[in-house]
Amino acid sequence: MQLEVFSKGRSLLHGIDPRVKLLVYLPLVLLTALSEDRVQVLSALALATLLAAFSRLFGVLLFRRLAVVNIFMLFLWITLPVSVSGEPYWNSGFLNVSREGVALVLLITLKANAIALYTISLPGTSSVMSLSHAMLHLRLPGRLVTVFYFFYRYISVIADEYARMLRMLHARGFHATTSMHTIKVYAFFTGMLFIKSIERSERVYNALLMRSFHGSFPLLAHFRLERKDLAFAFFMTGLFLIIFLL
Amino acid sequence: MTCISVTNLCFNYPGQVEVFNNLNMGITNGEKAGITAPNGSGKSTLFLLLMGLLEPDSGSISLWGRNILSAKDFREARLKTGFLFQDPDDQLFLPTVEEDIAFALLNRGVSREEAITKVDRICETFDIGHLKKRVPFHLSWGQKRLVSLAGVLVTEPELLLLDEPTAGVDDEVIDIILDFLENFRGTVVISSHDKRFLDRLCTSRYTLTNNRLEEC
Repeated sequence: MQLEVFSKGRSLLHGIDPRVKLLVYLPLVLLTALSEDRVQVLSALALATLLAAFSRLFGVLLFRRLAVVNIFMLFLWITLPVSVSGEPYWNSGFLNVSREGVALVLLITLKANAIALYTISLPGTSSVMSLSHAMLHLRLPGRLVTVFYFFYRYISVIADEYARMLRMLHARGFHATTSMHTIKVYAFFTGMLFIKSIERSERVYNALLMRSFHGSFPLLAHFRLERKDLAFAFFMTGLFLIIFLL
Repeated sequence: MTCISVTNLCFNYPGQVEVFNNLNMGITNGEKAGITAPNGSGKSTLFLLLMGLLEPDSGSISLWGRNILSAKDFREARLKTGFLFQDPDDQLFLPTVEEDIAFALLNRGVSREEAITKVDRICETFDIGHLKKRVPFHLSWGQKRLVSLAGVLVTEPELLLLDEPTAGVDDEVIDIILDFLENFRGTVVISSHDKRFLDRLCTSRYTLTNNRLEEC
């Protein structure tokens, strides 16, 4: 599934206990997001890159994902330097690019890329099911975990349904043009997509009820904390302390 | 002893024509009943009503001689029932075949070791051992059908409700399903258009037409 494309692999990070990954991931992301220090953020980005390298994820897919993040950043690069007031960095009469604006957008870009890389290389290297199970082990509220897992499951259902309906449209000779017909077809398409998805989700839920589902996700393959998990946790804690607290 | 008894069941989907108006039916323990009916006549709806997954407008349902009145009663009845849905994609939920088959067992508090043993056994029965580590969503339709059936049967239910179990599957898979069901000791209710399948398996046949379930 689209949301789990990085979860299959044989790297060191793929083999780490998802509980450890989540425990390492959350403070890293939080402090990276809150940090105002450019050196800290650069170090965090270096660490995130190192993690991505460890998880052997460098490839077209990873760069595509980062490209999506950086397209959003592009909008910030267009707007922030000219909208934040401060010392002029470049001035062309009516347009003033401020040093503070550039510094801010640079910081946001570094943070966004670091967080994206953390997300892909830590929780991204586990299946969503394992993460849900790990969250329950970490005593997160069961309902929250259920919502998380159902969101994942149904977003995949909607994506599948979308792909199927699009194929059907094309098979019946539809091609989009600038016309009322196209707008109508897209309106019906969106409506049908939601109706079908809702009906599908009801059937999935009924099937779950028939199998005694009561809000938890028991797994056959249980987590076992191994030496490598502890070593990884210590290593990451050490780096974490060096980057953010020293 | 009666396994399923339905009395004066009425049901309609909001804003649509009525599906059942005073439907009565009785299935005895150990019976292998086949239900045939035109498309859209309510076969799947009947199964959903029997398991409390839809609420009837009126009428009563009793299972194993006990009137099913509350959600708790239905939950208990579901523990003894296996329901194979028409579309296996609705049923397959977990990241690997073996996790999916074990799901109901683990939900019911069966130990991990026992669940693994039962999963292995049912996989052997359906010859799907080689699929255990595969992602269920990526299997062929026939394989998905076998995996979803294994997920239903692994709990050793007393009653089986099978909604179009042979739809879209090849003869080889049908033979595997038939071999298993012929030796199944519980009650089976099958909704199907596959007359050959029903002829080989069922001890009784019903048709569902004009809101009535009639033995044929």
